[in-house]
Parts: sequence; structure tokens; C-alpha cells
Amino acid sequence: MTSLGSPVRTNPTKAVGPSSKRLTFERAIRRLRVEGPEVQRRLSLLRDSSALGKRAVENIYSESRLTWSAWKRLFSAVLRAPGSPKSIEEAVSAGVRESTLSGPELPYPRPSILGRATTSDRFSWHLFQVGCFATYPVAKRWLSSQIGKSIEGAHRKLGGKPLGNFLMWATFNRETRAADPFFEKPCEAEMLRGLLGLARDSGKPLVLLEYSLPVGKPPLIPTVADAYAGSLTYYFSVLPQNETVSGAKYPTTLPWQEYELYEPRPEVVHDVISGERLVSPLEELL
Amino acid sequence: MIPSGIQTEDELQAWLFQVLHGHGVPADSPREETSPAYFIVELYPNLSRVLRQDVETAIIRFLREHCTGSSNSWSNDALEQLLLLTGAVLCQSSLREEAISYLRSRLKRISFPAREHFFIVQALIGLKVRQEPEFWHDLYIFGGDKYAPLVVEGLAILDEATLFDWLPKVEWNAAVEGALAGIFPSILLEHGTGRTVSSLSRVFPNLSRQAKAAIESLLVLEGISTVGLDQFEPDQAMETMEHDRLDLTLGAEGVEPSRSSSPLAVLAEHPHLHGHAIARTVENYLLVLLADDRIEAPVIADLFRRAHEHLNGHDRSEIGSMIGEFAGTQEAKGRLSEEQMKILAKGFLESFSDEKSSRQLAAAHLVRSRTQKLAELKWRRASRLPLRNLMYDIKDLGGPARGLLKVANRFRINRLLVAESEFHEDRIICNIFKHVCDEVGLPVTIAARRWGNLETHNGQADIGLVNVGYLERPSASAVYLYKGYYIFAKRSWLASLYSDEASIPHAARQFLERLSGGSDVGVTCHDETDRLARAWIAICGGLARQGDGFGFPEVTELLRQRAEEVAPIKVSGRTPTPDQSFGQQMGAFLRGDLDVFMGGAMHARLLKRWWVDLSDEVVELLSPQDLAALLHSRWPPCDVPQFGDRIQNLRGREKTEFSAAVLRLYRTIGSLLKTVTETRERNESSAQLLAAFSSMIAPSVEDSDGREWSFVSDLNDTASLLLLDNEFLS
Repeated sequence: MTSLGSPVRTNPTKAVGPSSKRLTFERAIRRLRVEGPEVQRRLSLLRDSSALGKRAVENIYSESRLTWSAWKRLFSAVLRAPGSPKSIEEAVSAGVRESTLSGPELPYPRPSILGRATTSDRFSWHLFQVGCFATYPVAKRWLSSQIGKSIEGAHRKLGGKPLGNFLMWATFNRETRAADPFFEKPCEAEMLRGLLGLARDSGKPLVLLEYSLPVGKPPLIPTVADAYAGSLTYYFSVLPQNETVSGAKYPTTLPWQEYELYEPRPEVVHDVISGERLVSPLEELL
Repeated sequence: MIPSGIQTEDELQAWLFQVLHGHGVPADSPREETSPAYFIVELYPNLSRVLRQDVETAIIRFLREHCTGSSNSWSNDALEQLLLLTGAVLCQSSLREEAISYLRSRLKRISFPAREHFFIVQALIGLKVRQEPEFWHDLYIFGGDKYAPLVVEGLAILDEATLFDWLPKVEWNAAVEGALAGIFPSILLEHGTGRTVSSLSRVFPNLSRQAKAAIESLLVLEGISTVGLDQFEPDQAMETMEHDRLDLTLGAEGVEPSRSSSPLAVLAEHPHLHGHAIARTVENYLLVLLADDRIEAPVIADLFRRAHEHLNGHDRSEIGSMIGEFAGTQEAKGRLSEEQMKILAKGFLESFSDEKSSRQLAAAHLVRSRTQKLAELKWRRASRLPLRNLMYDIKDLGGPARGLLKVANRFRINRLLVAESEFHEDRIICNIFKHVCDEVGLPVTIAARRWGNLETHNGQADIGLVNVGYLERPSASAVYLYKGYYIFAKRSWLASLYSDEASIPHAARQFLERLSGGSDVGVTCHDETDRLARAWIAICGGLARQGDGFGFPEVTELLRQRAEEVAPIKVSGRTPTPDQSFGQQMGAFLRGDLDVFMGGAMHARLLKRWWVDLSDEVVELLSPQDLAALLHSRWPPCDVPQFGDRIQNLRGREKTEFSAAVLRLYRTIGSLLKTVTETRERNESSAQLLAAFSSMIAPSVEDSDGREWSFVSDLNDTASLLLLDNEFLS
């Protein structure tokens, strides 16, 4: 919910040294001793309240890439919640908000070209909200005019302007890693939306952004903190601890149910970058 | 979706407050953030009318609380969301003016957070507020580069030329370039490539090398040729014009211009600049003539005749608009007198009377753009005093308004939806009605109604003034009598009718003979025979078919009955489609698709002032006096308040009390209008009010679907509308 400057919720990537070792949920909860059972009881309440709650708690239980301080913030927030499932849900979001972008860096070989798909209207609104435009309709017209045009126009307008708010989620091509991040791109926006686990903006076109990351903003493995900092959402699945990211195994999206038979897309999170990092003309998928 | 448990307006406000603070915004993916304001903006169009109004009212309440300092409950983030929402949702709302007033009052505070200032200005632009160019120039100096997108969009609200005029004055940098790149697709979409490039070409020579390169690159990206931009040198052309005006403006008759610095030379080489540069050249020449006090009929006629020769395939409507805009600006600044404007318009009407110019409504665009500019620069600024103070100087509207509030409160009516027709007097009345009701605390929403009933886009209205047709005598609840009907015919069609000797009755032939002989047929009919003959001609021209869907079929039917007293009628004129509104029929008449047209007061006064008085293209067949004489006791019709179901469903006595309160307010407003018009020459408040009322029915950028040819073009026409075309009853 910020604009006109650096997003405030972003937690710049920190080096995670030995003193801030990453812990699984199981090991972290054991450290609590006294309050541990109460945290688990409350999380059980959330788990039993809805499918969303169940998915979120399963992800928290499977999370293995948060530091002890991040777990402490989450547990404290859960313990402070009044106790209803709704309050626990809000507490989880509040508890992980300061721990975003703290997952481990994606090991090499890393993708050099990443792709972000987002609903055109949402992206136009974002550009309006961060002050690139005075009005939403002008932002929409500009975006629509740039589709398929030379990248120069996007660089001119978006240079120095953030392409996201707090953090950015991206996909990439697990084969080449250096091009075509939306490999085997579906011919319809709806399917790509489903495969990437995006919001259900049915009927609205997607704008596809392709970019490279600057030095100092590496791709990171997403954690529950990245997924739940805004609010709890269904379409996220933690990369289990025993599945390494070497070789062809990467963190992946959780597609919508109707696309669950398709192979999920690889994905990472990273700090917000600005428009001059775009490498290809903006593309629209209807 | 709005939670189903929300039942009342207060609950909705509480929910919206929570949403704007980030609570309860649905999210089904972490990968795409849904900001609170975006969530509401997406939701808003799908809400019911009542909920949309509640959302608008809630936004206004939040703004009022914040801007008047009565609430400090807004965090910075939530306030940003509120301001982002304001421009996006209230832009088309009847609460727009109120929102603007709160935001402006907030801007006047001595100190508040800089970020808030940015978002307030952004909201004002979203509400399409028009400010002087200097306001935006100062804003850039005050706010710096981050304000560049706001400054360009703020200037572009005025017009693209005003925006481009700023470019040579500003130090070129990436922020200005990015801001211009952002607005450029919208400008192209709104004004077209030709006009945009032409406007750019005027300032291009005065730009820095860096700016020129950036603009050329911008044009190339849009696929537009940049050839000729740097050859257009208006300053040099103007300088040379001082010595040899005719050669350098449009060339001596039959001689092509030879100098490369001449705009026409650029035009000849680069056709995409052609039509607009002609308009600019005409403007430049007119400036010289104005400076020399040489706006004389032969000079102007010669200028437009030669301008017309250079048009080739160019868009006449844009050329009419550009020259009209120029004339309106000069008129507003007092550089062009009313008489000179008439000379200018007459020259244009006569030179641009070919079929293509008529089809493209060149003259209509000239009149419209001229008036739009005049209204914007002069009428709307006629007074520094609020409308309320001026009105209360003349008439105490507070009493009747409070009376209505009292009755409404008693019957638990918290707000009113008032229907507005396309008739100009009704638009003024609605505006005043809303003003005074809002003032006493009874919120009123105005919505355009459909023809003949109270249905609006917001649902059925509670109140509206509706014409009840043709009664033997005015209804007891009539607010005013409407007398302003006129019938016009195209002279070219009358000439073709005259040539059809066989079927024309004697009296009609006599009229046509006088017309073809060049004698002044006069506005008033000679006698009943002349009047019936003209009615016969009007019906012959297709008038009986007008009003099938809109208008008043009773009028045309009565006229047809009277006309048949003269001779049998065979319709030879072209007839409109059944679903054409008055405004659309007016456009069709000016384009040449209709031969006869019956116009209400404003259409008629436009035709009379510009087409009848200044050219011989249009002839007035019948005046309101003639119609009164022809239609006898069934004339004139009257307008009465009509009520929607909510009021109709009140119990008998309640309904009577409510109706009486509404009628009292309407009649007091009518009395105000009458007094203002009668005293406009001796009372300063009246004169200012008349200008304010005129600005309410002046052309607006939002006009469309025929309404663009339905506006007041002179303060005297507003006075005639309120005094002659309507009779307000007390």
C-alpha cells in the first residue's frame, strides 16, 4: 500500500549466517517449551476452520527455511491473537510480515531471465498508485499502447519506477534459464493464470514482463513469509526440506485445481526491481 | 463482493473504512497484490445503483471528515487509498463538485504532509479539474520531477496545445520525458495524429536539442513520421508576415507559397500536417488582423475562401474546432468583439458551405469550440462569489428548501434522486435544486432521465419535471409553460420544392416565390394563410415523421391536421430515424440529412443566431407565436413535477404534503430565474448569475450522442430561454 518511493514492507535480502540458522517448524516449536503446545493448538484451530486454513497450516508445518527470529515473530503474533480462527489468520500474516525475502538464495545455475505475469488492469493500477501516472485511465491507455512495441518506450516511462510493491514473484524457463521464461506459453491468459496460481481475474488480459535481476537482488526460494505477508492465500506450496533445489528441482507454483494435472511452473521471489531491467517488449495474453 | 451482512449505509461506511485500512481485502494469490482502492474500483461498476451511491456518499463523508479536520483516524496508507479511490470513482458522480471543494480546501492549508499533497493533486486530476496553465507550471517548480506526470496530465485536461506550450519552458530531463511519453498515447487517441503533430510542430523549433531528439523518438515509436517537424517555423513565418501578409499566410490568389519557412511550404511537402497547419496559419493571420483592427467582412471572406481552397481531403471538423477555439479565447480576453465574431463566423459559414464541410459539421464545430472556450474562460469565472451568495441576494431559496427537508425527514426520506431531462431550463433548475437542498442537508443526486418517464441510469428517480402534453389550460401544479418551439427548413430543399410546380398550393408557392426572389420573407407570418402554407411546407418536408420516438408527436400531428386544410400533402423531404433524439436530429439537419427541423428553444436559438442570421443556408419557417396561433387553446404545453414510486407510495396526506413542498421549491426557483433575467442589466448579482446559469448549459467535453449540438452560445440566448421561451408560474 505504498507509493512514490521505496516500498516500506520490503525486507532487503539479508545474509543468513550461522547465528541465524534456518529451522524447520518442528525444531522451532520445540524451542518454545512452555508456549509450544498453545501455538500448536491455535494453529490447529486455524487448520480446522477452512480449506485455506488447512493449506496455510500445512505449509507452516512444512516450512524449513525461516530463521529462529522469524519463527519467534510468527509464534508471538499467534499467541497474542484473541483466539478465533479469523484472528489467528490475521496474526499469521502480521507475524511473518517482517520476515519476507529472507528465504535462501536459489543455488546456481540460476535463471538469468525471469518472467512476471500480472493482470493488465492490476499493473496499470500499480503504475497509477506509484505516481507514474496521474490517473488510472491514462495508465491503462499507455500500457495498452506499449504492447508489442519496442522496449525503448517502456524503458523511457518505467526507468527508475518499481515494477512491484513489496516483493516480486517470478517464473522462469527451467530448461534454458536464459530466455523464454513463459516456456510453452498457453494461448489463453486463463490457463497461464491457473498454472502460475495467480488471482482469478477471469476474462482480463495478462501483461507479461521479462527482465533480468541486478546484482544484489538474487532470486530467492519463497517461504511462508513471502506467501502470507499480505494475507493467507490458497495457491502456495512450500518447497519441502528434503527436496533440494539443485539440478532440475526448483520451487514451483501451486496451480489452480483445474490445472493440477499440468506440470507446475518454477518460481522464485525477489526484491522489487525497476523498469530499466526489462529486456523484452511488453506482451499481452488475452 | 460486499459482505452480505451489510444492511445499512452506516454499516457500508464502516466496512469501506476497514477496507481502505487494508482489512478484508480478498486475495487468492500472493503473486498479485490487491490494493484496497483497486478492489473497490473493480467492485464499484457491478454494484446496484443504491450501493454505488452509498459508496460515493461514504467517500465524500471520509473526505469531508479528513479535509475539515473533524477526524484524525486516517493513517497515511489508508488516506492514500481514499484519495486514489476518489478520482477513480467520483469522476462521473454528481458528488464530484463536492469532492473537488473538499480537496481544494485541504490544499489551502498552510502545512500538511508532502505525500498527501501529491495524492490530493492526483485526485483532483482524476476528477478532471481544470486549472490555469500557470498553476501546473508552479506545481512543477514547487514539487519537482515527481510531479511531472501530474503536471502533464493536468495541462492535457486543458488541451494538448497548452501541454506542448509548456515544453519549451521547462528544463528537459528524464522525468519530463517519461511524463510526456506516458500521456502521449492518450493525446493521440483523443486528438488524433494530425492535430497532435501539428500542435507539436508549433513548439518544436523552440525546444532544446535533447527535447527534439526525445520527441522525434517518441513519434517514431508511435509509427508517426517526423519529417517536417523542424521545418515548421511559426515565429519566422509571423515575422515575414508583418511585411507581406497575404503571401505568407495563404498565398496570393492562385499563387503557391515559395518560401521554405512558410507553413504552407511545409504543408505542401508533408501532407500529414496540412489541415491543422492551415488552421494555425489562419489563426496567425487573424492575430495580425486583430492587432491592426482589420477584422472586416471582405478581408475575412477572402481569407476563409482561400483557406478553403487549400483543404483538399482534410478534416473540416477539426479545422472548425481549432479556429473556433482560437476565436473563443480571443473573445473571452476581450480582443475580439461580438461584432467581429459575427464577421468571422459569417465568413467561415459562407466559405465552408460545401457539402463535405456540412457533412463534417465544420461550422457547428466552430461555434461549439468557440463557445466552449468562452464559457470556460469567461462565463464560469464571471463571479468570485459562490453561487449560493448570489442566489440568496435575489431570492430566499432557503425557506422552501428547509420546508422540503422537514417534510422529507418526517417521511424518512434521507436523499433524493432527481431526474434531469435534456431541456436546458430543466438542467438549470436541477442544478439549483441540488445546490439549495444540499445546502440545507438534504442530499440530492441528479441523473439524466429517459424520454417521457423518470427512469435514469441510477434507477427510477423520485422527482422530475415532465411535460404533460397539451392541456386545455395549465395544470394546477405546473411550474412553467414551455413555448419555445421553432420550425426551420434548408433553403436548398425549399428551392427544390419550388421547382416541383405541379403539387404546390397557391399560398405555399407565394411564400417560395418571395424566398427565391431574394426578398426578406420575414420571421413573422403575414396572416393565417401564410402560416398554414408554411405549416404545409413543414409537413411536406418530413416534419410529421419527427417525434415518432422522441419529441412531441402531438405537436406534429396537430400541425399536420392544420396543414391539410391547405392541400393534400405528399412528403418529399428526408425523415429522421424513429429513435433520433432532438439533438441527433439537429446534427442530421446541419449535416444535410434532414430538410426540415423542429427545434426546442436552445437548438432554435443556435440556428437563429448563427445559421439564419449569418448565412442563407437555413430559413425559419414558423415561430412560437405562429405555433400558438395554429394550435390555439391546446398551446402551450406545461411542465409539472412528477414523482417516482417511492413518493407515490406515500400515504395520501403525506404525498400531498411532499408534493406541495416540492412544488413550492420549484416555483421559487422559477421565480428566481425570472427575476435574474429581468434584472440582469441593473443588478450585478443577476448578471453574474446569468453567466453562471449559461455555463451550466454551455458545451462540455462530456457532451455526446447529439447533446454536443445542444448548447447556449450567448448570454442573451439564456435570457431569452428563461424569459421568452418559458413562462415561470408563481
